[in-house]
Amino acid sequence: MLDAIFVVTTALFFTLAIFYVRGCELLGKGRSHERS
Amino acid sequence: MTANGWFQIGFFVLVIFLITKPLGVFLARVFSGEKTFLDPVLRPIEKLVYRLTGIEEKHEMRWTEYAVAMLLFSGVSMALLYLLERVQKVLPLNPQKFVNLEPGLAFGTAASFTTNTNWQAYSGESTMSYFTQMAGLAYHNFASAAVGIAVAVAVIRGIARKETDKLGNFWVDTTRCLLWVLLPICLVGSMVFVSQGVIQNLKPYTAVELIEPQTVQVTGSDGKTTTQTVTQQVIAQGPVASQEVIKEFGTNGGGFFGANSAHPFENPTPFSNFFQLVLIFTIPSALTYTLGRMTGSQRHGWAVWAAMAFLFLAGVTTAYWAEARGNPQLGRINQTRSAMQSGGNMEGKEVRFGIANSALFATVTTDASCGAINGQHDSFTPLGGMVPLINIMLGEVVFGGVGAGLYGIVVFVILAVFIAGLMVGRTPEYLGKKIESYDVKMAMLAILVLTFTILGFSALAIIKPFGTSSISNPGPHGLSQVLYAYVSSAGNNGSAFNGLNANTMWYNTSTAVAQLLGRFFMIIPVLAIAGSLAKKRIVPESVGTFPVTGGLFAGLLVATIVIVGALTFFPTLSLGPILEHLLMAAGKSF
Repeated sequence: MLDAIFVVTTALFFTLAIFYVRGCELLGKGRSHERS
Repeated sequence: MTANGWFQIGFFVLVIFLITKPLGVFLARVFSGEKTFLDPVLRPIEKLVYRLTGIEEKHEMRWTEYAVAMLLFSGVSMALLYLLERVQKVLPLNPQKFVNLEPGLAFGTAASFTTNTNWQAYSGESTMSYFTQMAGLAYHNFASAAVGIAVAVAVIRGIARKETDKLGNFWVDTTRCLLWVLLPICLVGSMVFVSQGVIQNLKPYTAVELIEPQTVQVTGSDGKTTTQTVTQQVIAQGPVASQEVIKEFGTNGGGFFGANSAHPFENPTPFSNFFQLVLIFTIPSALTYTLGRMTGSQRHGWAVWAAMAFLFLAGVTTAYWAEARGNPQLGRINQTRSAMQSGGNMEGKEVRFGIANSALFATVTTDASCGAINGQHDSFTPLGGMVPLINIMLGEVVFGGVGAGLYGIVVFVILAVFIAGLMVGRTPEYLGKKIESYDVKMAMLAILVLTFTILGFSALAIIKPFGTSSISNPGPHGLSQVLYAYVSSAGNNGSAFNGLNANTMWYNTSTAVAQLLGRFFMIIPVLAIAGSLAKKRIVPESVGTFPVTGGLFAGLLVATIVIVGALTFFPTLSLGPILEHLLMAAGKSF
């Protein structure tokens, strides 16, 4: 049972991290450096 | 403090300075794909690796692709280590017949080694089979170091390149780092350790008869105390040298034995101790030269090096002074150095290494995100123990971990030029790139993830029984123990105030989460900064450009690092080691 919890936790963490990559990318969309 | 001690510290700094340029040039050549003297041997192996794994060598990645590749590699590696720990009993090379690790410890250790932290809530010689040590832990020592260096190189490319969204190829950078940098030097380094007496074998542990049998009191599970005579001692064996060298060179820090570099089989001589210290700082120091070379501003690389060296010297001076002056509570007992004693605070230190080399080791291992120890930080004086704590709190950017130190200090460089820009009322620039709101936001995300992780988990652990029950000393020292656990975890250092019992479900899982957040949720915004910088045009220098070379910049960089660290952590330090120091002076100890 604990094995399943830890494996799922690991998978969830890295999935969340990939979403974080996407979030950071979206935060940069349309930013101002192209105008500089 | 002695002239001999200062000479050893000064000689160490000199050696690091002398290594910086040649290795920095070599690293730049390796990651720029230029020819090196190792190419005739390694290039065919590299091509074979790409053919077998289907890697397209010429394919360049955007920062998002680079980050996702890094995450997938790390995630799969972590899951494999967890599996290996959970089934080690049925795997080969387990002469001591060690059982499988329980799930909480296996998860904590898997996260720890994947994130280059190497926080160890176990003693290797009584827990890990040789197979787990070699195929699991040593593998991660190489892989996590290579990942850190690859990310640093991607960040340097982001600074150096212009008007592109490509940062290189994660798989190629990692492979080249392993083949050209880590494996060759570790092969030679392990031979050096063997020459000093570090063991390297796969034998079962050796039982020897004691020359003087010892009588000990043993309390059984029924609470009854009995007297036993011990006539034998079991001496642990194992493949130590091959793991020892990457432990330092990859700034991993996870010892083969629980006593880490205080164990005579890991660190037998003064030379092996010095060699370990040099290995820890070698790559982080060289990467500053690589930064200067690849960005075309060698003076910038040296300015970053100077800022790091200044903070290192400040730390080692404080630690050495605090430990050499001893413990005022011992009062009339003579603590001065003489031919008969080391003098100062020798509790928890190896007599072989003495005060200077223990203070130096503690400073180096926490400036870098190494975490190896040759003495117990828990036994340092309050101010001496505060130095390792502060070093990690500053973000381990004082040379720092392999790769992690470089990309960590780039975050502070961004903040420093931003602050300089605010002061003079100009748009901040970094080596010709305009620093804009997105870059500063990402820099702040990288810094704040450490702050929230450290302070959040520490606050929870000191108000709940599941956290306080592991504390072995009351009062401010207990706070320092808990704080150190999360500072070390989030900072991916791995050293510990060993008084804390960290092998509980709470500490195994919470420190693992802290390590994962501190590693990956810092790397992602850092790669975002690299991607953003790579896209920008180069703006010609003007009279309003703040130079990122020279003493003024180095001073501003040091001030930025110290101010951010002080503003964030001074309240907790004042309740921990500072209060303990004041109470010690008033005659109270913990």
